[in-house]
Amino acid sequence: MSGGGGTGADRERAVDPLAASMARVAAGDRDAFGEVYDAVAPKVLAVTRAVLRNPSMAEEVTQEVLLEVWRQAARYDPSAGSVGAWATTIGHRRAVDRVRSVRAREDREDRVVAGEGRVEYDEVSEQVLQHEDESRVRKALTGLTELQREAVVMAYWGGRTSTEISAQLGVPVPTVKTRLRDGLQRLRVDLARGEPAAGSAS
Amino acid sequence: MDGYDGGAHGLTSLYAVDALDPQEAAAAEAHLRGCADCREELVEVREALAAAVADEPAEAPSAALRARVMAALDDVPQLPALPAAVAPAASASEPDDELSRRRARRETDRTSAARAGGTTGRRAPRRWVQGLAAAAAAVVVAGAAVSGYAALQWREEARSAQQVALAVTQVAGAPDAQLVDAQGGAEGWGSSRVVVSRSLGEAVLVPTGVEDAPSGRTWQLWFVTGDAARPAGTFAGAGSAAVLSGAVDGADAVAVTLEPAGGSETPTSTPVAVYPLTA
Repeated sequence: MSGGGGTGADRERAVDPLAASMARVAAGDRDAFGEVYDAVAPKVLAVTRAVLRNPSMAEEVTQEVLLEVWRQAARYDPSAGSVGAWATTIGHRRAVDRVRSVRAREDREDRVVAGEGRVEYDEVSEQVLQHEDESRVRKALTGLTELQREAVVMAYWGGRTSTEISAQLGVPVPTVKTRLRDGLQRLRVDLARGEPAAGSAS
Repeated sequence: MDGYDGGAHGLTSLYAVDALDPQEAAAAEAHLRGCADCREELVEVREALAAAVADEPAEAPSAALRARVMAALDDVPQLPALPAAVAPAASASEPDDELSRRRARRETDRTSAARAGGTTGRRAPRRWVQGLAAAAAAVVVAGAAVSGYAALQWREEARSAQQVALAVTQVAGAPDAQLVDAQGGAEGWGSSRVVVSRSLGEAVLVPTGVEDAPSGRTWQLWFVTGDAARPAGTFAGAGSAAVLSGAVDGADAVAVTLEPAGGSETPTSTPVAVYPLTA
């Protein structure tokens, strides 16, 4: 969909060295699991910490995600993405589910006990980048416009829905969706070209 | 409709960042199952996001975390590979979709045998009871693992899985056990059943064919008496048979609704299934 690539893109994708380790993990090899852990745990922790903004919760979710990697190793499908992206995706989803269920519970409780002990989740954009490795994320997102970057950071690193972002920025939902979608397409194209985001260490 | 271009196609990248409301996320998932281009886009956006996440965060994972994970491996049984034919297309975000399919197949085999007897109120055949208990033991551990429990609770989960299996056997094997078909049965709940024993005061849900609740939502069970509904537990994933929380008491029916994650005090949506209980 990004110009020439089309459906051949996933065959052209670089071979993920961790895919071989995953095959061994699937056979119950703990050393191989250790390799996978060392490669993906930092990313999973980074993304869960950004979304949850609570170090102990982030560790807890990271632990769940890595055990899920162990449990599901035989079902990992290399054609559906790298091991790192797979684990990061699971981590993001779980962190987001947890934040949203906490918010939902607080919203319900707020109707009864107004505002008591409420955790503040509302100062997303800039602070997220302080929890996260700031310069690294900024570098990866340099191809985006400022508005796109803001929307992508709030959605991914802040764990917010487009509806929530709309309310927070005071712009219409369709506008938020357009910024997000355009920003994410740009990020995707940059990665395909080997631009900023692809230069990852290890 | 909102001036935002793309319809279901346009939801893919928003789905990749988990930025959709539950209904939109469900629409995106349905679309992804049938659209190879969007699945490819989803994979690429996820790769790009993962690449943008720091490999070396300001605070590296602690040695203690690694030690806890390695120590917990003993308590986490690995799942077998899927047959190639049922490999999920959009995978990563629905790691357990296939579980529900495996279950559904098992349950279909089992319940088609049970179905021979007719309608509401019959005894559960013994073979069905035994199979049900085995299925509960095998699948509850897995189901619990994906519904967001802390991994430290794994050992506890394994124990409670055995307890659920035992409870299911007891309820289904009780002399007055009744097998109740779903009425209504929207959203894949049509083949689900409830087994209830008035003498034990317990009820068990057999969620044949039921899919995971959409992201951010949960299935919730209710004991209905007159026009009052009493919460009877949530049911986040497609997992296995579940024992309802609380006693049956004088309930007229069991009902299931879709609720926000975490569950509700009272139902906030129309039931997707109702199981009328005879007195």
